[in-house]
Amino acid sequence: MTWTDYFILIKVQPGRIVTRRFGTVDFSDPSLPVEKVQALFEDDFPYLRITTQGMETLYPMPPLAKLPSKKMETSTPARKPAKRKA
Amino acid sequence: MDFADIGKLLTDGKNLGGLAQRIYFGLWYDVLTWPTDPSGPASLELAGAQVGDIIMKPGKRMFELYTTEDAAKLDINVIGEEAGKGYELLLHVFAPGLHKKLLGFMNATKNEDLVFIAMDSAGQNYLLGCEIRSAKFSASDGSGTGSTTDGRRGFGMTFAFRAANIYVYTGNIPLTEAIGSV
Repeated sequence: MTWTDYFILIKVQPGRIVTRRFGTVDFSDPSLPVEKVQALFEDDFPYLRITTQGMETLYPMPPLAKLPSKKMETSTPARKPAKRKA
Repeated sequence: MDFADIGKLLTDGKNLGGLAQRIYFGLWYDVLTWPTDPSGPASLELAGAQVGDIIMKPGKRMFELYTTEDAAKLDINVIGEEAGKGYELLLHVFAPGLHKKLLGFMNATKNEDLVFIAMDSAGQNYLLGCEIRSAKFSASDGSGTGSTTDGRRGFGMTFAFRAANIYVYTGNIPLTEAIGSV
């Protein structure tokens, strides 16, 4: 798997961009570490978009926790006795 | 905005002077969108940094210019009269050699509207150019062959940019062509 499976370079041709975090990064290089590209993506780097595969692999959704089954109330709660007027 | 105390604020005690040996430049009218100046910033820190990236027009990009070590600097001067003060940034660069590419650069940019990004030794970037004003070639200092064999042969250039405020540029620098439609 390469970073291009998880992210798409947008708005520019594949090539060099001087990034705030890592200095010059050459996005024409398919062997860039995924972690590096992911860190840029998380920095709101404007030239990256995540793919569906990237979303599923790098940010998997935790399975929904099973809710405990709640028993239905069958009987009505006991009513308080009405106060007698003096 | 709330004022705050300002301490020494040096990260790990680092505070080297000078600029990095790569300066980035482009044509001012090739810029599609500019970073935005802080608007009503809540803190002094926010008041000192632009937000966003410089984005070039489709087919356009920024370029790299090599400069000799310890020969580039950024001067920040205050200009204007009382109640009208602003800043002038002067970027001094020395490109070694008098090769044809460099002479071509000088010929092509001497009357051109330009944009520059210079990085200091702390890794902080400064953008010369904004939506309404470009950086301009203003002077040549120390250009030529030098007079002795141990002299310096090359081009010394100064580019000037005037602005109301001065900011750190926090965006990225695209050295690859932009794509898409305007």
